[in-house]
Amino acid sequence: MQNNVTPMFVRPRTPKLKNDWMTIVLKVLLAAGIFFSMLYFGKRNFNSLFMTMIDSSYSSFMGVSLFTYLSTMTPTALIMIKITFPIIATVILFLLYIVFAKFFASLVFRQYMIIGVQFDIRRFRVCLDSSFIIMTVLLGVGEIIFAQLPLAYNFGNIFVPPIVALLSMSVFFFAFSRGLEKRFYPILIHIMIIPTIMLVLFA
Amino acid sequence: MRNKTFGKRRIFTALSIMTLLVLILTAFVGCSAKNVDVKKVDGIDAALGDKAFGYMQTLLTQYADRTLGGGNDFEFAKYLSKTMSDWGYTSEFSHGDILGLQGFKTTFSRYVNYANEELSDVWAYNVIFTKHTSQQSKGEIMLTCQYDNLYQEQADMSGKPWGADGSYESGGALAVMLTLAEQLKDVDLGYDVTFAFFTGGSYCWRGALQYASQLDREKLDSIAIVLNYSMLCGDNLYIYEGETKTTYGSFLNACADGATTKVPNDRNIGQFILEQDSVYNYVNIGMLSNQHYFMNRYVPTANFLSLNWESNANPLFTEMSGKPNVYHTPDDTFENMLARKGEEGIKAQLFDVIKTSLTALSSENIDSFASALEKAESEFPNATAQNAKSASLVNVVFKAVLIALLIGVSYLIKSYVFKNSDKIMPQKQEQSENIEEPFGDNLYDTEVFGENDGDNEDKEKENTPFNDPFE
Repeated sequence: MQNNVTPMFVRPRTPKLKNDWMTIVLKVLLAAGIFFSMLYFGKRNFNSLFMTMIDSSYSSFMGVSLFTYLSTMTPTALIMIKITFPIIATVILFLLYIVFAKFFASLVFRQYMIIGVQFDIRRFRVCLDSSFIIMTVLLGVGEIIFAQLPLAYNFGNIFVPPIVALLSMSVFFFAFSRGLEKRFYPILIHIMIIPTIMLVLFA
Repeated sequence: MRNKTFGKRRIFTALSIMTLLVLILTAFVGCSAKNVDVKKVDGIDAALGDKAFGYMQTLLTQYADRTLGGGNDFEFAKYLSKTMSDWGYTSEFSHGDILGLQGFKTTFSRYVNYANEELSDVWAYNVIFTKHTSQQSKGEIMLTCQYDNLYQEQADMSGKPWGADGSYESGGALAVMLTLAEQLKDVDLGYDVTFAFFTGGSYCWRGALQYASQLDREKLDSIAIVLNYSMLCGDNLYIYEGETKTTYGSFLNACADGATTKVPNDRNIGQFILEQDSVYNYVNIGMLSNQHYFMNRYVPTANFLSLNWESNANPLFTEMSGKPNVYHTPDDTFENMLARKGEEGIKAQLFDVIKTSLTALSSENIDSFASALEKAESEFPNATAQNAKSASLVNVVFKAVLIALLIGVSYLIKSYVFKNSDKIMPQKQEQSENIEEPFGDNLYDTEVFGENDGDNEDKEKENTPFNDPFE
């Protein structure tokens, strides 16, 4: 009497990106951009290690004397650490970005599915990667500028990253919405709100 | 024609934005040059460099161990007390029968046999002496330095005491202070001149913190300036007056007559603070000395220090180009200093510091210095807008406002889309008639769940409003 082939529900899969030379180049550039901003952001935080040198009381970390290590390290060793930290940060942030991009893509894909617009994952990732490259480079440049203006850094550090995040999302919007019918613009902006809030919070 | 006007408008807008940015940035930095008038002072002899060098040798031979809580720091404090008393300085402080000692108990950690050992309630001694003016006092000029070192530190794999006499950190500054005290013992500048030899400089300048934190506002306001001498005999000599340019800073640099190097803009800062309610929420190498705690209490300060601030060879800071740092290492010894800087180089830099100080504190220039100091209060950075607390508050408020705005925009768009759904999705009605194929044009890959799935069949049965017991 019953047919056992009735589908209960249908969940469309978010398309997967098939990498080509352009997407790979963009990913490399993005990783470089993250490293660039981390290197200069890290400069300020790396120098916080100096705290362990001015008072050895600060330097007991799990029973290990950072004071000793820092006091006796050669400049080359210190520079190696200074480069290693941003590399580790870059790897972590890049992985977080991949998760973020997938989440964002699924949001856009599902909404586009509802309104019946073709979703091109390659186009999406190219636009998002490019806007993030701009963001990371601007954040790095901001760090360099504020290193010259330490007094302005307090507030520069507060205002610049969220503004740069908004700017990069605007770049994404203008790039990704090209070719999209204007009547769908509000919907695209609406989809972008949650990812934008995430960026503003963590930028 | 229209395009031309549009182009002009764009240029005008771009220029306006750039001008605004420049105005905002210069308002933050406030780096205008200050005009100062400094008269040449005769009689400041280069032999004073030799004298200071002699003091360094005395320190090495008689008081190499000045470690806080190590025992010999007390002996050295007594030496300072006797020396200053002999030169006619007086003090409101005493510890036991020893004049000039501000004794206090402190707790800190030191590495002993590669283990962090806490030293509790250790007696520490600041040595404070003043020469009061015979005239109506215009205020107090403080000359400060640390006198302790890390001679007994054992943060080393060998577990042996370092034996570092601390010539770079504290030795040179001590020698300068003693020379200045000797030179100024008979000079009446119209100011009370205080010499403060602080202890605990190797442990976050505990002595200076102890001294500054016991001063009330009235006493702090009476301090015209704190001239601090910290690490000396590096590559270049700097006078760090704070994060903003000040008239008194320009005056002191003019007194140096070319011996000092301009503090670079990129100051390689570290994101930490030494005490709550710090003026800045970061530090740089210029801030890190005794005067820091006075600066945090809005007292004008100037720190004489010597390093190579322009070099990035060492990511933390570089004392001398091409040479390893000795700060807080077993290598901070007089022997190493001689090898790095040479006797003549040491004497020359010590003399530059002494000459600069004596020129500023001479009868010829004291009035100019006083008028420069009068402007110090107005030149202090807007602390409420710069400090760590207000920055954190603004950070939270700014992000909260931005997120609230984004959520607001989200709701506005939502209501707009609902109101204008006919315009946005005119085919909606048609689609609803064909509800079985919402994505009939097959735009997407789909993942189908439930096909040939016995479990789902069971669930379907459970969810059926009427269970047929006969089926």
